[in-house]
Amino acid sequence: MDALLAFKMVPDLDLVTGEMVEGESTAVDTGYLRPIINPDDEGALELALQLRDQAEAAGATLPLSAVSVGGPAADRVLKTLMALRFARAMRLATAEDLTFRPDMVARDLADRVRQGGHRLLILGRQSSDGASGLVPPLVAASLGWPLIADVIDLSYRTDAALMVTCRRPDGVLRLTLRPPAVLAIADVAASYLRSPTLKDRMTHGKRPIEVIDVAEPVANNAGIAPLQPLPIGYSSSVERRSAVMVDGSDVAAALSALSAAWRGRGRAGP
Amino acid sequence: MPITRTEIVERLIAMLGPDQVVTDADVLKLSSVDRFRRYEELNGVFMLPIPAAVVYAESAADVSAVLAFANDNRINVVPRTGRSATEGGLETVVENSIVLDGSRMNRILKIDPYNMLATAECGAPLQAVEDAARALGLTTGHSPQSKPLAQMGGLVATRSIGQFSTLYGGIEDMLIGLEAVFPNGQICRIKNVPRRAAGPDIRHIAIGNEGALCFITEATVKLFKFQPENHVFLGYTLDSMKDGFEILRQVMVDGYRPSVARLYDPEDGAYHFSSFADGKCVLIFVAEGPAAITKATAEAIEAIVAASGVCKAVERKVIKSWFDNLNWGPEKVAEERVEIMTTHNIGNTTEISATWDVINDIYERASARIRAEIPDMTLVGGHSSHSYLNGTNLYFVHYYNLVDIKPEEEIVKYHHPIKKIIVEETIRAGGSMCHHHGVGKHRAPWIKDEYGSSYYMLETLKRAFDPNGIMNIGTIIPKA
Repeated sequence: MDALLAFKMVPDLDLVTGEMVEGESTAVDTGYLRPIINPDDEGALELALQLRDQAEAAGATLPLSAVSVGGPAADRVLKTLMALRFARAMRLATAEDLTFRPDMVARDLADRVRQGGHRLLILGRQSSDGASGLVPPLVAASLGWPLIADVIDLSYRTDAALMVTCRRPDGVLRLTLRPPAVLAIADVAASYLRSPTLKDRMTHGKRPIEVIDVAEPVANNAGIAPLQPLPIGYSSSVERRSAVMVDGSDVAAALSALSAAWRGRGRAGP
Repeated sequence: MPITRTEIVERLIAMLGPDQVVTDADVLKLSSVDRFRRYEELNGVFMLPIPAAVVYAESAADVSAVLAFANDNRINVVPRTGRSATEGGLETVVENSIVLDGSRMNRILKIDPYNMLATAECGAPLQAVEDAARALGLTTGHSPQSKPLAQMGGLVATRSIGQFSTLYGGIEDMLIGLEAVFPNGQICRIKNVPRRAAGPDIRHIAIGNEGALCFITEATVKLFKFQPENHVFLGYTLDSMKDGFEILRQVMVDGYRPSVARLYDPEDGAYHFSSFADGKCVLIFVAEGPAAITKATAEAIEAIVAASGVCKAVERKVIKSWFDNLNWGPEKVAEERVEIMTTHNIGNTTEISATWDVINDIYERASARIRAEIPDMTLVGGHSSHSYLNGTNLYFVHYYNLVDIKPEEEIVKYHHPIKKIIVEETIRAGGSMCHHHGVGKHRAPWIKDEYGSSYYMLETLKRAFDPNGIMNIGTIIPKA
C-alpha cells in the first residue's frame, strides 16, 4: 500500500487587513498575501506522516508521494516533504490558473494516481480559495474508487488495511478500509505539518522535486456547470464585549442583577 | 529569623487588602516563569520556587509600601507589568518571593500634543498609549513586536526597542522622565525636560534595570507626528548577508534614517517572505516622516541599492502586507501554544549587537556552530532589524524539534547551549550579548564578560540601591 498526497497552496487570508481593500471596492488582491498550505491539505499531510510512523513502528513500509497542481509557490513545501522522506514530490505545472476548474485538477490527479500505481489518494476536503469541494468526488469518480469524506483520523492496521475515522452529523464513524480509496480530510486535530531537521534536509531534502507540464485545460468534461469565481470581500466585524458591574457584597442582590443582565443580553451594553 | 510564607501573605493583605494580594495556586505557578520556560509551562511543569503571592499595586504608594516591607524582611521581589519577557527576568528563583505586578496602574495620565509628550502609568499597555496618540495624529514611534501585550513600565525596565527604531530610536531615546520606587520605599521622580546637563543622566539607572534596582511606576515618552500617507516601503532580494550588511552600513553612514532597515538571511527570509524570498536574503526599508524627507530618503536608498548591483526589487505591497501582520497579540500567543504542542517544534530568539566590521563574522560563526553542535535543529537563521551609524543588531532565530526529552530538559538540551554559542561568539568579537530583550536570568552568567572592567560600576549601582539584595534576585547579576 502506498499513498499519494495532494495539496494546494492558497493565500493566507488571515493576513487580510482593512487597509488592503482597494478604493471603494470590497475586493482584495490576494496576490500580496503569503502562500500557505491549504489548511485541510496540511492536516492530510501530517495525518499521512503519522500513519507512516505507525506502519514503520509495526515493521512495515508505507511509501508516501506528494503532488501539487500550480505554480512554484509549492516548491518550498515539496522540498520540505522530500526532507520528510517522501518518495517523490511532484508539481504539475499548468499554463492557466485552475482555481475554478476542479474538473481539470481531478483529471490531472487521477492521471498521477494511475501512473504511479498508488492505492490511496489523500487530500483535503476543499481549498480555502476555490472552495468548491468538488475535487475529491470528481477524482474518485474518475478512478472508480470509493470516496471516504470528512476523515479526521487514520490508523495503521495491516499491510492491506487502515482504520479510518470520519466525522458524521450524528457522531463519529470508524471503519476498516482496504484500499484503493480516496480520503478527503477535514478539520483534523493535528493540523500543523511537522518540521524536518536540518540534518533531514541535508540527507533527504536534496533530492530534486519533479516539475511536470500537464496538458492544457480542455472543455469542461465532468458534466458540471462551469464555476465562476466570486470576488473575495472584506468586511470588518469586530466583536465587541460589554460588561455590567455587579456589586458582590450581597449574594442575592448580585444574582438578581446577574439574572437581569443575562435576560437583557443582546441589547447594546454600556 | 526569616518571616514565614504565611506571615508574608498576612502582612501584605493587612497592608493592601485582599483584592490586591492573590494566592491562587494556579496564578502563583504561572507567575514563577515567563516565556523563556513556556514549554515547561505548556506541559504544566513548574520547576522553580512558587512565589508566596502576586501583589497588584494600584499606586506608587502601594509599591513603596511593598518594597519597604520586603526590604525590611529580606524578601525577594520580582517586578512585572505586561509579562511579555523572554529571558527569564520574571522567574522567581528563591523561595517565598513576592511578584509585584503594576498592570492595574494603567492610566494614561496626559497626552500633551503641544510639548509632544505622553505620560502613562507603568501598567498602561503601549497599544493604548499609541492609540491615544494616533487619535491626535501622533505616534510614540515605539512598535516592538510585543506592542499588543507590553506595558510601559516593562518596556522601560527592559530597555526595549521597536521596529521603527532606526528613525525613532530605542526607549532610551524616547523616555523624557519617569517615576520609580527604590527598595527602601523611596519614590523618585525625574522631571520632563528636553535635555539636561546637571550631572549624570540618572534616567539610565532606571532604564534597563529589569527590576533589579527599582520599580518603574510612571513614564513620559516623546510623541511624533504620524504621517502614514508618506510611508514608502522598499524590498529587495540578494544573495549574501555580507552584501546586505554593507548596504545597511552605506545607508546609515550616508546619513539617511529610514524608520525600518532590515536584512534577513535565506532561512529566516523563507520563513517570513515565502511568497518571494526563493532562497535569497531579503532587505527591506520603510521611509517615513514629512513628505520631502521621506521622498529623499527613499530615493537615496534606491540609489545606494542600485549602485550595489546585487539586489532585485520586489513588489512594495508585499512588504506592506507583511508589516501589517508582524505584531504578536494574545491570538498569536494562543496559536503558538497549539502549534508547539502538536508539532513538538519550538522556536526561540537571541539578539545581539556589534560594530559593522565584525557583525558578519558573528553571524557566520554562531550559525555554523549551532548547526554543527546542537541536535534536532529545524531552522537556524537570523536578521538584522535595528541599524546605527556604527553597527547593527542581529536577531538569531532558532527552531528545533523536541526529541526524547522531558519538558524540563528542553532548556538544558537545546535553549541554553544555543544561547551559549551566540553569547560566546558575540563577546569574543567585541559585541554586546543583549540588544533589546534584556539580560534576564539566562544571560546573567556572562554579565562579567559583557561588562569587563566596567562591571565595577554595575555592581556598585546594585549595592547602592539594593543593599539587601531583594530586587529580582538572579536578574542581570547572577544569584550568589
